[in-house]
Amino acid sequence: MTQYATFRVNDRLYGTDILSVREIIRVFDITPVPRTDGHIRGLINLRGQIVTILDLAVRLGMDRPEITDNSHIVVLKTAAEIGTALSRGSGGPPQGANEPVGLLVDAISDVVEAESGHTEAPPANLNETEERFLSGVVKTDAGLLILLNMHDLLFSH
Amino acid sequence: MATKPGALKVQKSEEALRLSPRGDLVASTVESLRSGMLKAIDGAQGPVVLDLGTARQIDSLGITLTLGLFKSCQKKGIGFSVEGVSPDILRVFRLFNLTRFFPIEEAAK
Amino acid sequence: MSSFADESIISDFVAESREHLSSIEPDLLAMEQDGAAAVGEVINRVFRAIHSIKGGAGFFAFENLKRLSHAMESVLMQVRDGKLSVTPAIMDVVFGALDRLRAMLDDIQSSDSVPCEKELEALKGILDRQGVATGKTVKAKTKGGGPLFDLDAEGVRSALRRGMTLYHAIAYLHRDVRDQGLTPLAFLNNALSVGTCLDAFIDVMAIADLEGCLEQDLPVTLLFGTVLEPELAALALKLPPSQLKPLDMDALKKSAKVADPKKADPLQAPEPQPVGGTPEFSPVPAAGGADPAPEGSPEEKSASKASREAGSETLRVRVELLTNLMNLAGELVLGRNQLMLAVGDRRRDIPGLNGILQNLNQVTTEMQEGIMQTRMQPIGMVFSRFPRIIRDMSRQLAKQIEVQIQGAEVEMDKSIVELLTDPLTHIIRNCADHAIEDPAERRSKGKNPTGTIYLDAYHEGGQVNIVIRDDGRGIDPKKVGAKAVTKGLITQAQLAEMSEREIVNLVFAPGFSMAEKISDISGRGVGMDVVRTNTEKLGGHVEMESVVGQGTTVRLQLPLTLAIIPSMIVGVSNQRFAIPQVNVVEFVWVKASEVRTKVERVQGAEVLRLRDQLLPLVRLADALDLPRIYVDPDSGEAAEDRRQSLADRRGPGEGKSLRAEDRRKDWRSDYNVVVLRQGPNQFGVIVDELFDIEEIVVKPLSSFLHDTKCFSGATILGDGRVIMILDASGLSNLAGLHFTDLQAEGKKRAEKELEARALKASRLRSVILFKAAVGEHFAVPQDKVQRLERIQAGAIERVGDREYIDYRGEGLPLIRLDGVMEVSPIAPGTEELYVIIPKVLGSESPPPAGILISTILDAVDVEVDLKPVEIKGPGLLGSAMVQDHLTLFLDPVALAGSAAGVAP
Repeated sequence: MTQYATFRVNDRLYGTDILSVREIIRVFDITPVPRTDGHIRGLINLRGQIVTILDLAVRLGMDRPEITDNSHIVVLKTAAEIGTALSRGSGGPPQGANEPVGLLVDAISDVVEAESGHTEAPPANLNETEERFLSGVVKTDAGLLILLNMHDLLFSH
Repeated sequence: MATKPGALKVQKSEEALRLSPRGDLVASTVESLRSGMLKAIDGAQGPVVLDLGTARQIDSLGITLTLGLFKSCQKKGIGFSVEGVSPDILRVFRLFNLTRFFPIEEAAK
Repeated sequence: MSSFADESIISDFVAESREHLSSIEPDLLAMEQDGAAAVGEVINRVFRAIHSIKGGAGFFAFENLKRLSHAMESVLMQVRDGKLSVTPAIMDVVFGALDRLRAMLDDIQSSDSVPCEKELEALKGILDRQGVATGKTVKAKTKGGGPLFDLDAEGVRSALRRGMTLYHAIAYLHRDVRDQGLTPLAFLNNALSVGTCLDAFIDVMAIADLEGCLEQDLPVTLLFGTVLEPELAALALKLPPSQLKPLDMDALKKSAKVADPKKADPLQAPEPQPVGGTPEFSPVPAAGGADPAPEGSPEEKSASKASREAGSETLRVRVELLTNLMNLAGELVLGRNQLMLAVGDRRRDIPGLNGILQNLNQVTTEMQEGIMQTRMQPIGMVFSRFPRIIRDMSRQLAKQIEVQIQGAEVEMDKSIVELLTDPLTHIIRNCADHAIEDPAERRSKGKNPTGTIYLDAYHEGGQVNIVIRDDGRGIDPKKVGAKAVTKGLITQAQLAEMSEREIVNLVFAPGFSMAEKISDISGRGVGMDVVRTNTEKLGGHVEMESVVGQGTTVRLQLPLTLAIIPSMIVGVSNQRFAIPQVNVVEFVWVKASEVRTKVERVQGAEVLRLRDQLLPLVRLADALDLPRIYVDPDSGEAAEDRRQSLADRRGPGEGKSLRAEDRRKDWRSDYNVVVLRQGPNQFGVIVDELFDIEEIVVKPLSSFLHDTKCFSGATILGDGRVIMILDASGLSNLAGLHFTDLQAEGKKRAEKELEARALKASRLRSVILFKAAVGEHFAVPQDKVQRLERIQAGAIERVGDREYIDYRGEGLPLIRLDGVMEVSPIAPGTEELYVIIPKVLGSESPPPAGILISTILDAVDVEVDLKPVEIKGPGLLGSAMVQDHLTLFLDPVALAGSAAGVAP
């Protein structure tokens, strides 16, 4: 069984292995960074550590969302915290793998358990612009859970 | 099936008796390894191979254990060698000039 | 329980060995320079360092490292014992081996794959020529015991010669090492501080079999040589005296002699005199540092003393740990600030709270400073590399070069010291390669055949200056300029506008390489631009000065620390940014009413006219691609400003210009300009707001922000907000500033201005205004008048037609203006008169004549355009309106000359 932390972006349910999540926090004071990629929402001060916030919606090819009371930041573990590099294949962890990063989401949802074997390839009708960031889907009681390919999401250009 | 550190895998073949401890040779594992080894070499005829393929660390007790096993084999008049040694452990063995007593083979890279 | 293969012990060994290597490099250089005169302490230090590396390498079974350090030790032993005199060739071998050792230490895990056969061969070659048999062994045993060790004969002989006794020492790993709180390495290091360790291994025979093995404490056997008596030796080794047995020295001496019959027994035969009469050295490490100091200069004694003291009072700490501490300190500062804010006015309500808060405040600040201090390292860490580099280069280039270092103790943040290594090395290499001439050339120029490179570091104004000066050939601005033009870096026209200093500094331009021929050593096209880039990355700047034939000076200015820097906080588009204060030159406030006169456009870009300079302007909002925002001062409302540029409101079109008029009256059109320094250039950044200067803790930029060139990092402000730190050079690049164009333009304007001023000056005259008759005004240039003499009418004497006065004892002819031109005469009966005495060339000769006038009106500066007059007369220059009167301008010299000419 794998447990997934799930969250909503644009009314879709996304998830990632809960072991890759350090903590989930409410949104506060994001400092925007001018002249950088659109999916970089900005920086926050998390107890003295500067965390880069990625805008998951923008990264997945959707419009830049408004921040509401439901918005949250999913702070991910760094490669060192997970214990293994997120990289696949050779070459060690990619640059930035040990820098703290968080994902801006519209809302958080429950932790979902699923058998590892029950993951399916993402269906073609998802209409996601950025299918390369998806690793598969799992059918759950709450609906279709779309799993994120965290490595590419964070590090591919 | 998972094996706990300190477990000893014993494989008998025509050529040798292969002893493969699971994990490091350190204070916490040497006791159980020793009892496993004592049982395994009781009545052994052929050469004994200590396979350290999963060991990354060795402390003074681990060295003592290795030497004890060597000495026991010597008493029985059977061959003894160590295989699958990590570079770190190899360094310790070399440092103590153990290479002059029994063959030590480095882990394949 | 720690394993022997513990990484941290090995990394300690590596770190220590590296320190050894860098600390002995200067000693080796001194040995080479002083040859036989090198003092014993220097050689001993080198020997000890290599010896301890060998010991550790043996202990950890790094075969390659051990073999090479062993061979080096043997050669050094020959030097120390006075059997081998140091030559550059030998030092080449030693330095080569040293570099290999360093390479091995760089990646200790693969040290066995570092090739070192060449070095070993070379070292062995030296030993062979010395007749030292390598690989001969001696059997050693304790009294009454069997053979115990196979020893290297030369090592034993050396130990014997130094009066050492060899001991068989046993240390139990559990009882004597682990239970004493020592790691095996620490144990060994301690042993090496009181003697030498000739061999070390584990005693396998002590173990019976598997059954009882774990209960057995494992003994490590050492063959240990020291000059100490047995009890003292045991104490020093922290071993029970029973575990330290002296070897049978008589037998050892015999066998050492037998082992190599070519050599006389060193203890019986007189020692061969050391080359050059170097005195015999006192035994190497003596007890507990209470070393009876051997011959050596006072400096050396104090140096070795200092290093001993340093050894006992310092602690090795991982940088990572310090970085973490620094982050925590930053967090603490933040916590303190938040606490202060939260408590606010209520701090007086609780008795004593205020004091506690103040104390906390103070301690926090001091702690932060203290932690910063731990990261400081002396610049000498970098400087110390250079004597060696120069030594190698001078050999290679057949030049004679000396390095002189000052201020090695100046401390800077570790990260800066590290990042400086490459730029400084590049500059130094350039000096040796290009600047310093070969000895013949220097001699022919009347210079000392040995060139000198001076390295100097000193504090100045909260910054560190590093100066690299050479006495070489200097840089010819003509060559640099020509090359820069050829390479297309600047145009010929631009070159013509540049000062020599500016031209010389072109060597820092990207793609500029001054080397006329590509040498092995430097000058491959990349170079000085990297120096500049790196220096600026560190928040510093670099400048070069050069005098052809005399030498070149490169000056680097750097901040003390990168981690905490005072920064100006500015606001633009409702966001705050930090600008490191080191980049800030000044702040200029251009009032809205002045914008029109002070800000103009040059080649499409806004520039500020500041003290005759043209300063390129960058609108921060535009550079950062942020909306321009204006905040209404009354309502506090923010609104986006939709004007695209300054040009829009100056542009034609009634509506716009109307609006522009409104704007100009509005305070919001004021320009807040922060003038930034970037290398030799300056530019202005227009911001909306200026806040305080704050000490900020710099956090590196996340690599997720890789594309942003305009920021050098981020920081957390006192209120907990994250803000970005602006990078001056990134900003100027982003804004596409063309400093050279502007400088050229600025220079052109300055020259024009100068011309205009000169022109104006040429039209400006200081004149004396006077009258002769009542209604007519005259003027004479002051610079043509020697004196004005007041006379009484009665003093005038008449001789025939001529009138005279007595002037300095001689008769001076007088001219009446109405006598030489058509003007009215002086009213008769005027008693008080004046005489204008014109200036004459050569003060000796008397003036030819004086001009008689009635009234002096004024002495004024006037700017006039003289118009021709209708009347004619000698010396009449023309007329102009002065003080609302038509005034005739006269040249008194010409007038007096012509009048005197007609005189008989």
